[in-house]
Amino acid sequence: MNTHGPSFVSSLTFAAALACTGLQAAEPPEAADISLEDLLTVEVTSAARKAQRINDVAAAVFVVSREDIERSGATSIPEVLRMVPGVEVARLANNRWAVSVRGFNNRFANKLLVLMDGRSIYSPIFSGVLWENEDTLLEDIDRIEVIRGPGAAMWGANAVNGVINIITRRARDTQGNLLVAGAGSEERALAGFRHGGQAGGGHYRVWAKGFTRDEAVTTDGKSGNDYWRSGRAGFRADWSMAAGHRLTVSGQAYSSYTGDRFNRPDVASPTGMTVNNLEQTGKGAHLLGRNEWTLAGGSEMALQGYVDHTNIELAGTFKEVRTTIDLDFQHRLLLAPNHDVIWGVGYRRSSDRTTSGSLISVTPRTGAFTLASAFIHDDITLIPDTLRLMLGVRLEKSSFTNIEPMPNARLMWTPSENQSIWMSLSRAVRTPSRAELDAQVDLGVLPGGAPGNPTPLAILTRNVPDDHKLKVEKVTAYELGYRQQMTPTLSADIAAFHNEYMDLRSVALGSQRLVAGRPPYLVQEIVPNNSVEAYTRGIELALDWNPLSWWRIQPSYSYLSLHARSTTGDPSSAQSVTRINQSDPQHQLSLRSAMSFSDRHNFDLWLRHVSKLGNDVIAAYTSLDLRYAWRPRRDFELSLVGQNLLDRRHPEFVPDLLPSQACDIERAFYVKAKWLF
Amino acid sequence: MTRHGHRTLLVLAAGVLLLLGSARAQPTLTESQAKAAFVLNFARYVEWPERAFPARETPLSICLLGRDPVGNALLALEGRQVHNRVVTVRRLANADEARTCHVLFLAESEERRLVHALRGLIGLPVLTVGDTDGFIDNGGAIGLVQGEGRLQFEVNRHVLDQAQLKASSNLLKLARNLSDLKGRN
Repeated sequence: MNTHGPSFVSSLTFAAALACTGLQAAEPPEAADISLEDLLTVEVTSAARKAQRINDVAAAVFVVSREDIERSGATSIPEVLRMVPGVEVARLANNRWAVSVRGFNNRFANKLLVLMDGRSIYSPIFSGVLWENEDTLLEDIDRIEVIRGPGAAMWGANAVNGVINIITRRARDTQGNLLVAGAGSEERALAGFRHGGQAGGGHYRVWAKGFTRDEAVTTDGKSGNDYWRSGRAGFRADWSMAAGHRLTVSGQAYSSYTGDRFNRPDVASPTGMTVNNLEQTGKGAHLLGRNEWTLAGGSEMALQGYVDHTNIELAGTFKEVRTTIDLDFQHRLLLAPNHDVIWGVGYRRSSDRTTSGSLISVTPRTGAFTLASAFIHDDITLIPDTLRLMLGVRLEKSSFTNIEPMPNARLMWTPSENQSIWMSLSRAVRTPSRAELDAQVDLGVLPGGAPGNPTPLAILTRNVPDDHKLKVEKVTAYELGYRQQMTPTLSADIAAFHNEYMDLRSVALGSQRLVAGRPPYLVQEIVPNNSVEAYTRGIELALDWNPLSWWRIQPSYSYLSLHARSTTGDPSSAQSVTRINQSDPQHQLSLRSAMSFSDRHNFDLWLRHVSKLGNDVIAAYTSLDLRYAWRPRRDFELSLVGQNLLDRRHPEFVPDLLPSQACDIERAFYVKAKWLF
Repeated sequence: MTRHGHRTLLVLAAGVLLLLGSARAQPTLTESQAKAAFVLNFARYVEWPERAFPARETPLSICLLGRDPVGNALLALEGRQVHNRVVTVRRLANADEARTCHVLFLAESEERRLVHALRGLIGLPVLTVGDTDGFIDNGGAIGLVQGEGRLQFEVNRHVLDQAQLKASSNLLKLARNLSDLKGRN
């Protein structure tokens, strides 16, 4: 589905790869006299590479380049995303994250669509991304494009607040062998290998990686049982064939073992819960094929299909086996010199088989949903190089919903080569997930006599299914953005938004009944409904500055104000409002500095500040990462990374939905070697 | 894992200070400068058919389509000599003006009109150079691509033949996608 983008993101699609802006510092007179042989060996500074191409995109876009990933010292995708303005990343433990864009953060943040090479990794059961299962060899990622704001007109439902597109490198860009290995205090051991070669007139790569991570500590100082062991292997092959056909086949298989500690609701316990350790297992594999070709008239077509199989098990609690088949076609044509049109259709079928344990039970046990979609998007040049209007709409029909239209209008004004102003108006929806529709979840126990429980009996709060009456969540988003290349070495990107949300999922108190167990207890049912409204406002600012040819500084700031309210006043609806209102920091600051003293020495610094959540539910924190890389030879690099250096440990988020214990994030160090041969 | 944290931090900081002390700016090229230098080199390694130069003093015309910082770096090439001809650099407003160019650099901003632009030049002696993804697959002659921290290039020989451009064997040998030619000639 990432191929849906061309006109919308195409410029951005290619942004990170190249196009270094703003580096017209004094042209060395000898530059043009370097021979071809020497040019091939010249190290290229690729600082500030993004701004220029992004200039053409009428959306709030940030592209994380391969170099950004490497120099961040991050070892997982969510950690990389911390550098993107408007994105909230909170680590719940060493193996769990809450990641969202423009508010509503949660471990299962459901308003963000994440694609990896065109494959959706949004879990239909949890309506969110299980980051502990999603990974690849970080060295193979070409770029991560993050679009804040609704991308639904292009990518479909659930792209309510943003889209993250993780795009891996073409096989021909990863030829030869790569070996990475590292070890450290939290990263106990990590290793990765890739081999790229040629076969059958095309290029391929095969890769594998594995790691084991240490446990963090819970807030009360105990070991968090949040270890993480994962291994995965994959391949990608690209062929350029006759008649302009470009074929890509890729696949991956993984297994991921993550420890967790549950405060499991227990009516027999005086505290209302028992703590128990458990292991979550994620296994999966996928196979994806894509063919892109150009027709005689110059129009382009793309056909993509994938099969994705996942198996998630929370020992003794829940198990889900899911198979998804997705087909996607799109056609892009220049109807007239000033009309760049893309249209496409898509079909997805996803079926699951669940096994319930205590805590969660899903009925019926097996389920399947289909999703059919069609979209059209026209990029109209009103005044060449100056004014463009983009109109698009996507229609989706899923098993759970009626046809949902998701329209979008954007206007892009480029008064000069180094300035652009854009605005956008859009509507997007989020469709209810399988779990929201069919799952019964025990949320917690209020012991007898505890505050809020006047009875002597324990009250078990249980989320019950609602008979598929849940509606889609809707957002109307107003966005405005400005970009300027002030000087060849300084550029700025500002985006502001106002989003209005309707029919957000919430709950209402349902019936109460007595269960004659031993001991007897009360069950308070709570029933899902759509009784919350909210609005968000925010500003995101990113600067990119090269004060010196070997020094790059990238500060960013995000402001978010979120106000949710219940439309019913029901106490449990009000409770979910409280939770929503305290899930996001109001201020986020990030400052990255990348110094390249020479071919051989790099020094990187990353300072982050995240303001408090709610009324100090989580205190504000500041953290610092440092990285020093030494390259004694062109093909060998040794790096030393220190993470979260400013405190011994700090919490970043409070878990929700599943009763996992919160862990503190500890200071960490690791060393890594990278060898190309 | 945290006991030695402070000490390690100190060591790190000391290392950084040492480094700063010995820091010196490495004279590297910007990506745009490197790309422009590549373009000039490609022109040196390619022979045009005679009809491409109506007169002895006809300059070698390098054109740029689209907005790109490479443009400024290309403009800096104006006045240089290639094949004993003076280099001129022009920015084009649209692809139709490219027919009289000898070299055409297609910037990334033109990606949406890339195929259209390239089709209009089929059979004309215009050396097309670009840095978009899959440039040569889309009918471009020479594509600049990112290698490990360096730039590399790929050549579409079929397109060169169509354009009646004769590339030197040195150029072909250095092309990444034709590297199997190495040592053969």
